[in-house]
Amino acid sequence: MFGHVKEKGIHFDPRTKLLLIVVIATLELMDINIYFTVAVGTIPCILFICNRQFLGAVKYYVLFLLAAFVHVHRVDIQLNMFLNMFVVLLGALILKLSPAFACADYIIKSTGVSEMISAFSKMKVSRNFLIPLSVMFRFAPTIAQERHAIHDAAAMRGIIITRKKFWENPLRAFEYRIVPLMISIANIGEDLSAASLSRGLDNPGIHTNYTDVKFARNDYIAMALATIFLTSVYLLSTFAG
Amino acid sequence: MKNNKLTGKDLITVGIYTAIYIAVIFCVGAFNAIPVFYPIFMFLGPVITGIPMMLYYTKIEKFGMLTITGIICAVFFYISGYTWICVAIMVPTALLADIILKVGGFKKFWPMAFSFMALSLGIMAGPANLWFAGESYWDNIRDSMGDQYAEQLAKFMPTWMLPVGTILILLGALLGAILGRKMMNKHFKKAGIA
Repeated sequence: MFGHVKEKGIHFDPRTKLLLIVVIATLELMDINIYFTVAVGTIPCILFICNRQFLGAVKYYVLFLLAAFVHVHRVDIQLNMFLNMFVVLLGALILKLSPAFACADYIIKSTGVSEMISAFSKMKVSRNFLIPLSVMFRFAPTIAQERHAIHDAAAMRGIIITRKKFWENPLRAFEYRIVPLMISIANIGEDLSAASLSRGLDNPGIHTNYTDVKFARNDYIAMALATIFLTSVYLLSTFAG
Repeated sequence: MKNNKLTGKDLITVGIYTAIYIAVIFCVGAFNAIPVFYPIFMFLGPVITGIPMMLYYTKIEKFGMLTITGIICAVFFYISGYTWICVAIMVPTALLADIILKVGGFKKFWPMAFSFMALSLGIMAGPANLWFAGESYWDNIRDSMGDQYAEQLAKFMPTWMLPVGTILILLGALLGAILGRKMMNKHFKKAGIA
């Protein structure tokens, strides 16, 4: 039952991960210089490797470096206007957003739900935010799954964006997608609340948790390394370059 | 059960519908990569989110649920690259939506529609950076997205888009609320979930 996330690779406290994602999301948009941006973007790659998600690490880092390459050479090469705009734009979006998203992916894959909740309650996050947040994390894959199933069923009837039938009445086609999705999600939601209430979600007492999170040596090392790495790259690139 | 504290069931409802709201906004907002879509998004965003949100509104019976939705949305927008301005806009609009609904009464159509209009103003958070974060934000766009994008964006999003955009959002939200009610009567009541 608790085997959802296997202990593998180097393990960090969820709070360290959250700190890292906030730092990454903030710094990545500050746009200091390209070396610093690449340095920030390297952190999720290292995190992936720590969690032994090697395929994810390679995919993300190749994409990211490609975007950085496009960003550096965006002035040199002038394609025709529309294509140029598209490529530069896509590059910029990947450069700015992919580190935070990769980090989020790492957090979701490497952290168990109970571990996350334990960390959040140690951070004194109010229960009013904790429950919606954990429901959202639980729900994101469900929404994708349901959407996919509805897409398949609609495609069988020819209501798919590449067919003519879709464009005859796009509004109606849209309705055929969103209404079943809403209905199934509302029903799953009802089931979910019944399940959690029967397990004592509304119990006014103190809720205990099997998983205990603590800061360990790994966390201090990770934070120190990240700080030293980012500071040194910042200083080097600002004063040497 | 006539207390005003949020129960576990309410909080789960908040989680589910906030997830859908964010998912829909991100899907529709992805079109913003093309500058023409900026004004269109401000109209179309509220229209499309109207359907899930009207279903959400039928389940709201207590003060505070919409505020939590707003705060969670603000956190997600912050992580996905909007600045502190999105927090400064989304949280007050959500609070306003909550107050309107509380004063107007829960589960009535017009308070629901007006409250949804207030909540939808929160999506101003995206474009608001263009006007309030000043020149540095523009320099940032010019640097990262290229000059062409910045010029086009300046063309489609001049300062007067602020009032026009607000009106577009309000109209879109009203239309979304009406569309949502129509869907509600047509489908959701029949399915027994509204």
